[in-house]
Amino acid sequence: MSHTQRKGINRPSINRLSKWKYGLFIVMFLALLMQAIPSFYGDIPALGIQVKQDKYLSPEAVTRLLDTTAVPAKELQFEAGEMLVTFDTIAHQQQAKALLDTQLAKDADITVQYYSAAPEWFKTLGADPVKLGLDLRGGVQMLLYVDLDAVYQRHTEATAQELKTLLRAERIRNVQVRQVSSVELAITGMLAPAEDRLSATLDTKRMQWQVRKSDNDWRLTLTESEQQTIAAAAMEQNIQTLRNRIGELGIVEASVIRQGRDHIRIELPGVHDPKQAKTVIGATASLAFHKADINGHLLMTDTRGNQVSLLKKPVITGEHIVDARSGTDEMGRPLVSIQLDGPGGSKMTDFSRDNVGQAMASVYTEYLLNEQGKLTPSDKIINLATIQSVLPNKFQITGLDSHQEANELALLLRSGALTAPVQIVEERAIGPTLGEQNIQAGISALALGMAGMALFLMVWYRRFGWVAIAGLGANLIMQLGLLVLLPGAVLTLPGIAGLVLTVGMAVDTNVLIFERIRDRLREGASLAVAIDFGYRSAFTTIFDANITTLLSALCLYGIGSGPLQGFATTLILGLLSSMVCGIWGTRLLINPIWGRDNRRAIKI
Amino acid sequence: MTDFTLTRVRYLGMAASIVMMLLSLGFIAAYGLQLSIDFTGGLLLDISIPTLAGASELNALLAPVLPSMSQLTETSSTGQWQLLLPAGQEMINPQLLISQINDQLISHGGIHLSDGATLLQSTAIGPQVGAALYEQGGLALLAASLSIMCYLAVRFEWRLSVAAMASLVHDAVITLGLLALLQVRIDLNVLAGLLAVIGYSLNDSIVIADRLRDVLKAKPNLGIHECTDMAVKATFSRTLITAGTTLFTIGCLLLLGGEALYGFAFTMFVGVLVGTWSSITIASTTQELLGLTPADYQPNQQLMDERP
Repeated sequence: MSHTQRKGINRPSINRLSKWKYGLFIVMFLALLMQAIPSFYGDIPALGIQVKQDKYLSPEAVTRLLDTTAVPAKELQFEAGEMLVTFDTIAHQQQAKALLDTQLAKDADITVQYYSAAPEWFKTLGADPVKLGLDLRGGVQMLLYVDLDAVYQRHTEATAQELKTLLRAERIRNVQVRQVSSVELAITGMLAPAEDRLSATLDTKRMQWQVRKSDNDWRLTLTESEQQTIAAAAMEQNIQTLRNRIGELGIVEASVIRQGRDHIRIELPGVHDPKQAKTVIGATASLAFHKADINGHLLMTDTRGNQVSLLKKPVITGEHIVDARSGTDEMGRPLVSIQLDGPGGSKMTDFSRDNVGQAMASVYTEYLLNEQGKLTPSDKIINLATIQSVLPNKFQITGLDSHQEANELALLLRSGALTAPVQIVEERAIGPTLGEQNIQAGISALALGMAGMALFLMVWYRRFGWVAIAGLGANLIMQLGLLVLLPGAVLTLPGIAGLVLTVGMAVDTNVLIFERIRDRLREGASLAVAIDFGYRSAFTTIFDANITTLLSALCLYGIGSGPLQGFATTLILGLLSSMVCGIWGTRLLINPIWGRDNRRAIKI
Repeated sequence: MTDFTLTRVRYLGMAASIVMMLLSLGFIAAYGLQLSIDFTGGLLLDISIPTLAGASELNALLAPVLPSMSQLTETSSTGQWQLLLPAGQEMINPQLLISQINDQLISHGGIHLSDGATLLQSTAIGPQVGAALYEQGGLALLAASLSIMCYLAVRFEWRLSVAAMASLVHDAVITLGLLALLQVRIDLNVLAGLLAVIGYSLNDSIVIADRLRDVLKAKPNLGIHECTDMAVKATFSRTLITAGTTLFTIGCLLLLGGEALYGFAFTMFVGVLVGTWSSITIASTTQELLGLTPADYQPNQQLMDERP
């Protein structure tokens, strides 16, 4: 005995971890625990009822309405003009939504919400339940293809028109302008007499069009950078329009993101009728220019709140707008320059020639779904300006208040007509019951997996098994906490599979270490020495083994999308947290208990 | 007298592995991989029909309302059915179809219905999207294999890296072969499973390779076969335990995870089983065949001598 004790004194560094390591781990664990706890409470399906500005709606009225139709509401909270009705199940929430949508549409905006069931103070700490993916929450996911070719086509057409107009004005004959493809024009014929004039014009479009000249055949190609500019503008504008429209649907957590070059992914959690969503996405917006006239029959309010009467017949409609971009004039004042196509340009020229000094309004019309499920137009004036001079097919709107306003106006003008055609190429609708089933299935698999592991560890490693179980528990909590903290991360069904899988794989870390300890004990080392050896020698193996899985998970994350990324995310987080818990966390427990234990020939 | 039983077992196992690989390639060639609409495009409806009727009975009953070229198939969960419409067919309105199915079921009242049919999930994917996903999936597999190969090349002796890669290919081929034989539909989740299998397969090979490295350094006088046997024996309990725990958790998913995770869990289950097997039969024999010896892991003697 004295021998072993001396050894223990001689090597005081063995199985000692500095205080800061304890501190850091405990702080990290507690912080992640705080983040993870609200997820265990889950969230409660709810409906937000935002009463419209000049309307009144009492909470009692809502309660009465819900009572008469026997939709069991759980609770109704009222704060700062917004009511929040909570329900027991998503099915009830959906029933109530359908009901309130038809009954209260005039007085209030109804939004689908999920309300954290955890005590209020978690929210003040910034801890929310983990966000659930569509496959768990239920909802609609769509992938839209944006036909950018059609947008290029319009630009090319407009330029062709412009050149034709130019040739006509200059009385140049025997020169033809025709469209070869959506991004290419050909100018052919007797070019010699027109060469100077054409070159001068094309020089001003150097940035947009690349010109290849040969005898009597000039080819104009839309430059790569211009294509990108056009594509980016069209995508941005489409996404903005879709966001606005989906906002009208009352879906709080909806996401509209660009995917790849020409796709847009829309996720609508809590929407269970894809038809409604599709109608809104497919709805069109348009823009028209109307003359302001005291005798006009179209009465509207402008952006400053003044009544304006307009002529019903528009001067031109938005389909003639090819492009609208914000910019500044020589004085640095904001403006929006608008380009019209050929027919639109000549109409506008004719009109403005007769009406210099008169006011003209830009009216934006959006077709939206009303409570009967029909598309109805909603009009608003986005700009009212005085015509200063005769307008050619490219003109400017000035007199704007700010660059911000110019940007928004350009966006709105583009949305009137430029909206690239979209096509739904992928659609996934997951019913609410399936979402709940999926959660149940995932959680029961996780629970059984955990229980099985715990039982095995207790039987196989006895005392050390308890440490491993604590490590597994900590691992799960940290994994969940990290998932909540990671911005944009959602828990999907494959994500739960990732959780379950990491439980199985996290045990591996413990097994590697404990088996090495056993080996050393069998060779006759004392427990303390064996522990030290076990942890040190297993480290590289654990590291190497986990790195390869990490690499394939990273590939999956980088290349996959949606649910696959959910799986990759939990797998990556799980590998990281299992290494931290398995190597570091369990040691924090083992050291104080067995770190000085110099018994030999004992079994673990 | 050295006991070479384990060596013999390993080489027998390798022969068996090669046979299984050839068989798997045969299955893939003969039956083909059953790609899901994730990759081919099309429309897939998951419908809950609370009925006791069998597949043929139900299909006969519903034939008038079902779109041509489509059939209801039963899933592993009772009462849940799938309807698949390949890409290029005329698309239908899922909600409308469900109400037609209900009408048909009620008018032919022979089958007891408590709730009627309900639509659980609908997935519609355009053929271009499917093709793009297919490319992405292949790219992910390729990128994963390449990055792992790079990592191995840096961390291990080249013969050990090649051995680990050989066992990876072995695992992927046999898993795919079984998926082809059992006609499991390859969807995105199966792809995720395959990638996880690739990661896991190496996990086992690396643990043995790591131990072999230790043995080769410690016992320069032993033959390579003995060293490998020692490494395999030393890690054997760990190999079994880890395979056991992982298989158990995946088994939980297979059992309780429901229809949505079936493909994933099945792929992982097969992959882990094959991966464990190959770490002993492929990974630890290939390096011997490539001529790895303890000498490759000895510190360079000449350099040591030249030290002052």
